[in-house]
Amino acid sequence: MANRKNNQLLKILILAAIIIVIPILTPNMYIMQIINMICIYIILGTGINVLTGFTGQLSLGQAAFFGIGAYTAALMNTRGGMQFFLCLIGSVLLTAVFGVILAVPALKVKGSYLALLTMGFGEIVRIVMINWTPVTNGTAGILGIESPVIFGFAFDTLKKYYFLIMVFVVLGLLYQNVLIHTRTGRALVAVREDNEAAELTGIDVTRYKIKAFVLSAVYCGIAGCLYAMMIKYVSPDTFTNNVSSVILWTAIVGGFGTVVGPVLGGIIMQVLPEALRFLGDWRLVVYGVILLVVILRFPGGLYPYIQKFLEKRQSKKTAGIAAGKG
Amino acid sequence: MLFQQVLNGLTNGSLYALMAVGVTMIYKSLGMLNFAHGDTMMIGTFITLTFINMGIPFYLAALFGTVCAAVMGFLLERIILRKVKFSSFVNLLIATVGVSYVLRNTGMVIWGTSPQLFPSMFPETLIKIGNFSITPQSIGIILISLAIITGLHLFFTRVKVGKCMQLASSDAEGAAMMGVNVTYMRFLTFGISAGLAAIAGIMIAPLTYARVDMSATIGMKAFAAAILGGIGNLWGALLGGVILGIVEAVGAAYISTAYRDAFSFIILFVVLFVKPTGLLNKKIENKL
Amino acid sequence: MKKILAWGMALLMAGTLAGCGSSNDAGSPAASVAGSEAAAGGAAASSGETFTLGLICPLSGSSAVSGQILKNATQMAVNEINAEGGINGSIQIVMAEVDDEGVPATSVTAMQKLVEQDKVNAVIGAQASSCTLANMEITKAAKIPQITPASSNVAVTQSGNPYIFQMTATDELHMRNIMKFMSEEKGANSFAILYESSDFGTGGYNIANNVCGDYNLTMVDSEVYNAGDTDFSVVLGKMQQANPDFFIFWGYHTEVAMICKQMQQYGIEYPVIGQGYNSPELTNLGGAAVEGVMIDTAFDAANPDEKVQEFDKKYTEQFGEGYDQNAPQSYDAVYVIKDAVERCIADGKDYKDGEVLNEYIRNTFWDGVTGVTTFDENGRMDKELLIITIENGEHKIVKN
Repeated sequence: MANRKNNQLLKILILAAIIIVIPILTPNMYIMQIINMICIYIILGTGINVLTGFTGQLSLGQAAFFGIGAYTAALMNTRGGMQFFLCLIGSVLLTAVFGVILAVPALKVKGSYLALLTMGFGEIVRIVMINWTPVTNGTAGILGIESPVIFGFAFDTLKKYYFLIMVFVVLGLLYQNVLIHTRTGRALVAVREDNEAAELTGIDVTRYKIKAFVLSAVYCGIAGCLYAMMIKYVSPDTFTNNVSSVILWTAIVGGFGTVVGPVLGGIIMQVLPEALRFLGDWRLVVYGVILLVVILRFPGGLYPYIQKFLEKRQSKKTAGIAAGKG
Repeated sequence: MLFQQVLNGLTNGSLYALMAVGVTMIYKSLGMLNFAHGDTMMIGTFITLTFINMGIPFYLAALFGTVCAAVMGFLLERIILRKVKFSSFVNLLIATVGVSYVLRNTGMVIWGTSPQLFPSMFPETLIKIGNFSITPQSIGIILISLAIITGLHLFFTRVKVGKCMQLASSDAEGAAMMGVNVTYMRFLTFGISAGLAAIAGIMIAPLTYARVDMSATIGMKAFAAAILGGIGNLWGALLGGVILGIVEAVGAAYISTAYRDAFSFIILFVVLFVKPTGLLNKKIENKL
Repeated sequence: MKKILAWGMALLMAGTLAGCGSSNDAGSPAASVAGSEAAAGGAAASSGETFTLGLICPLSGSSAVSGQILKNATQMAVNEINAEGGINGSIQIVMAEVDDEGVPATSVTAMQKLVEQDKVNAVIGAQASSCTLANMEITKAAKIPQITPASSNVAVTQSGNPYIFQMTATDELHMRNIMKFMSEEKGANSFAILYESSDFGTGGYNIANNVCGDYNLTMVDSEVYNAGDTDFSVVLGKMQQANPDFFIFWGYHTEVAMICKQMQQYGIEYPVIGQGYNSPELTNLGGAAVEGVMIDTAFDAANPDEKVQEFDKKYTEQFGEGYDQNAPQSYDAVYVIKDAVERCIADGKDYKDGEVLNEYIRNTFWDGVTGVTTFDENGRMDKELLIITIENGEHKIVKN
């Protein structure tokens, strides 16, 4: 028993060490920026994982929540002069509200219809961003968002910002982990597997679906707030259908319904297009083909396969030891 | 003004209808929306343009383009969709999203991103009737779309292969028991759907220029039209397309031109909320 | 176990990026230097010093064509300078280019790469105003001079950023020129404006609204369209109903060509003048419908000026295709930088110090392909504009 606990502690310490060491090892701001974007996409991916991976509600409109979160923070900061925590709360509240707004019609449909509905939602939000000029400044976007200042400490460099984002990444992942193991988590999975059966066992499907939508919206809202304060500029063409697809792929490629999946997915989706720059014109085509191949060959996402592979090796090892001893 | 807009709406609507038919066919057969439909249209259009630019006469080029699109539809079914396990519906959908992405970017690399002029099969001269002007194009598009849809209807109800396709779509097991090769029927469905998309593209490109991002708006409107009219239903696709086209045109004229594209999404929302089965359908047939 | 695995992978990825990042850095300068040395024929003794010029523009995505033109012209200028030995006869220019896809967030990352990895001494770019607005924060923080040859939004030079220079006429300059011409020479009293909903078009609308009074012009109607729209019957109908003396169009050639076609289709006849659609594609896509359309532009190949004709000849020989006004502007931008560096060296100062170089750029007086370039204290450029019209598919100057 004590051994197990020591093991856990060791793992956490190693993890913490890796997290702290990363920015020190990063040679320049360009790479730091990419790492920060990876972290933001991990949060986005985790959010959609709750909705689509666990609850089975396909959403192709997450960019809308990302955008709402970003614009809320932008407006609260540039027009209202508010600082980080208030902006964050604003983003969370507003995205939660819109999460409910989307959830209501979404309850009635599933499958392709749901995908289309969420896509339509994403488009409507984007069109409003472009045309509601007095508030959103239209296609010109909102400039001059300030870096977060918390208790007098300004997160004005990318390296410092990394730690701020990381706090949310870790919190987000921990919450996911906890969620899976609670009743709520199991209820969500039950909803995914079979709506009617879930109802029969007393699960209020409606309530849980709304919860899932709101939770995923809030994750995206937080990511949006962090994004706005990092890039210091928001504009409608950042929150397109394409981005919604990328968010979905982040969760799928990594591993649906797992906690670590979005982490893996976030890394792959951000690093791959940069790494493929040498291909020039064909870069995005190859990128798309690679993603297709991954989805076709590893339908549950890469992570479950890696897990299985490791487990096989692990069992071979123990089998070997047992055989050796025997 | 009103009449002019209704006419514009009818023209656009006929094209949405043609696209919606392709969408609805695949939905009926596979139980899901093919998100690569719009890009199939785009590729078919550009292939036709390439043939035309090589000097091949228009109708022949159009035929080749349509056939190429159909072949692409076949390939899509065979290569991508058969590999994905039928039960992982999400993966199937994502696969079509992925194909859409690859097609669009391939189009960008091959044909560039600037819009290109596409010749029209109709004369450009305006026909004036009193205060209103109608282009031969509008009339042509409406008539051709109507003809194709009617033709399809006859195909599905009178011709043996068509009847088998219908059967395979609505009741796969039953059809299999009667000796129908369900897989082959699905294969055909994809091909025909793709061919239809190409034809729609060829007719719309003279109005909008051929551009690699054609699929963006038209794709979604095709879905909205199909769902509005009643998914799986041929006449539903026609009705949905026409209604969508007219509402859009009139809305743009009297409410707001900037929000024009939003109308189809708003309609979609309303339909999904109020009556997801659509106008002409009686019960929902969501297979997965 | 799982988490360690995931983070181990993160570390691995970061490490790989770091690896390919630094090798990239070693890779490109070497290649470019090799290329330009070959061009120089080894004649002038290279001092070994190089000037790294960053170029950030869309090379993929919807504005790729425009971005490519920008790149071509910049490359042409760089090659010419290097062929003569380089800046000041001995400093070779090394170009570091990066594609920002026309997306603001990507533009920021791309600029990071230029500043951090390629260690540029100056930057030319971006193309889209929204991209420039986003990425100029980085050059500001890094104290590196940036010249945008294409972003025309007034906000670029109104932001108080001392490191950004705008080498393209602002919307205001264009609009004033147009209004002056139409009210004084054509005796117009009223107009209707049709503009794109983007920041480019909206900028035009705002300016029109603000300054039309100065020229005794009344705006009787304003209509907006979205990029990618294909049906303009509604907006054209409304503009026709307002019956102004002329139309102002503020948008890009794709939509403007279609608008003109539809004007012809519906028999709507009004004089058309505006900005943003001066591209060879306009006549390609619009055909007969764009006959008689007027454009206010900073540069046009129809200008008989010797420098203009020479540029036109050089560009078309090297690259074949047509070009828009971004080409001569970025070409001149390179020369402006070269001139600033040379003056800096002549004064014995260090041109690699961004702050110093910036001041020298600010004091520029360069007579180039696009006329005389000078900057005001905000980095905005003043220039003479042309009004051209399309006659038989060719451009013809109406007003100098």
